[in-house]
Amino acid sequence: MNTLGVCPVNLGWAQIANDYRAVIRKYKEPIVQNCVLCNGAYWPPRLRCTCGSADMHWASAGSSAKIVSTVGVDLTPDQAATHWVPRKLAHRLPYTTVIVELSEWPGLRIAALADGLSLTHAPHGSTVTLSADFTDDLVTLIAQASET
Amino acid sequence: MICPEPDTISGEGMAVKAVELACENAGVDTRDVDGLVKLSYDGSMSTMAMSRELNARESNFTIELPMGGGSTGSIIEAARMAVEAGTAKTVVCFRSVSGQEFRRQVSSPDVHRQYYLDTVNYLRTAGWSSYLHLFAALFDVHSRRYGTTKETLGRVVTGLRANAITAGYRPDSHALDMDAYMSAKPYIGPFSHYDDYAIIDAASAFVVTAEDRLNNRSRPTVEIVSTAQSHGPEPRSWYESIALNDEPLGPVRSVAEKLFEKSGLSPKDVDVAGMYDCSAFTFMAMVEQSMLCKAGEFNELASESGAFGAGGALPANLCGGDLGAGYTHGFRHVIEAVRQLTGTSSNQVSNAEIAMVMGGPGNVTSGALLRRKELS
Repeated sequence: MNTLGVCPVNLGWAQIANDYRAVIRKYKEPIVQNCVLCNGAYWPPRLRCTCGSADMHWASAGSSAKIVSTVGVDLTPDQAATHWVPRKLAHRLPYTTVIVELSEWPGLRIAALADGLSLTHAPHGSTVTLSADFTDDLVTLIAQASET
Repeated sequence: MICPEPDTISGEGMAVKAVELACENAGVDTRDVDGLVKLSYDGSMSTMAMSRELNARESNFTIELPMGGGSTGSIIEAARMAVEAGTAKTVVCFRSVSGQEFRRQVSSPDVHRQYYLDTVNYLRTAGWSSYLHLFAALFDVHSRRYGTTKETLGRVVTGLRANAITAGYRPDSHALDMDAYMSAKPYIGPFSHYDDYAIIDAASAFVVTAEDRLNNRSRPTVEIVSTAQSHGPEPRSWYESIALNDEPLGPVRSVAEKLFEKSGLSPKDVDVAGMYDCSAFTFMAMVEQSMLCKAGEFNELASESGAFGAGGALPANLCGGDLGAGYTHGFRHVIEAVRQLTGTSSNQVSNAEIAMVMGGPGNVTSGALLRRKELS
């Protein structure tokens, strides 16, 4: 099993989030939550698998994904706060958020950030490469158009 | 429902006033109100305080509902359950928030219910912004699937704006045409400021009671035909966006199916609709998922002139909705439905007999079917 460590489901949401970020920082790649019992995968993580198991681990999300949807965010700094742009990401404006389906985990979708608006009109199914970024004191999943 | 000029009446003052007006309209004494249902997203007072201000003789049933814009049907359902079970005789449902208080609430964490932030650490760090972000993502999927364009959104915005003007919630000078809509710069997905609701001071209230307790028999009343709630095919947490799952038939569709099955009615029986509309796309998605038109066919529906007006193909949000007339968590749709069915709307659909109200397409939502009832 591709495990990057135990997901501390009994320690609650805040600790799970802290552990999520720590594991990404350690392995420098996007991760998902994975059930040891049935191999179900989740993002965001949960306290229980849909099979009922609490035996959850972290696993590599892989670096390849396909675009499901995109949203361009083009706000001025003054507008950013009004529209709840995360403060630590405001300097990246304009940016695009994407929802992608992981190639490693078919059917599982995660959200990621792309700098600029170049991905805003990327065709459905376009392949992107995922990575983790640690600037702004955040752990941010980044999507970039894959080189053809 | 009252919508005073901003900052002229407090949230508490609006709440009491709205409840008093609702009781007067129903012909019930405020002292006989023994049940209260309110949204937890409210900025006025506790249900205990409301009982005190009404000089209520007893408090037999109180509840706060947490689903925000998904609460539309559940509010009605909770009140009805209390009355039908004999727990309470006269239940008032209310919601009151001043614009200033609403802005404060939505821009800061809920310190008393931090568990709503259980999954916030994941979408937000990917740049997810306001609720418009969710609907922008869903619009993108809808557009890719059905070819939906920004023009369709424009027809929603201009149509509901026209309804708001006809109903008297906006002045004539606020009329909006497609040229103005299309020229506005989008800032989140396809949405410009026209696709977003206005923040207003508003309070709404309605009374649920047994028919034999109504003392105002000068006009028809409203019968609750069916109510329903659903989380759709899969349960999800607050920030676990439906955009992460491929569920074209989400919670709204589940609620609609339950409503029609419970009531024996069908979509074609609906004379007037009150669809949650925090954004232009939301209204569009609601109409499709509520089975009032087929998925992917909203474009054609919206292309008809005056489609959502009182004489249109689908009379909907006749007061302008939250999108056209200001945000109320969808509560105004219940008020407008009651007005339509009792023949007292300022934008009246002729012979409206069946109304459908539906909460927002979040992770848990609710709706109701209401029917005009002539009193003997």
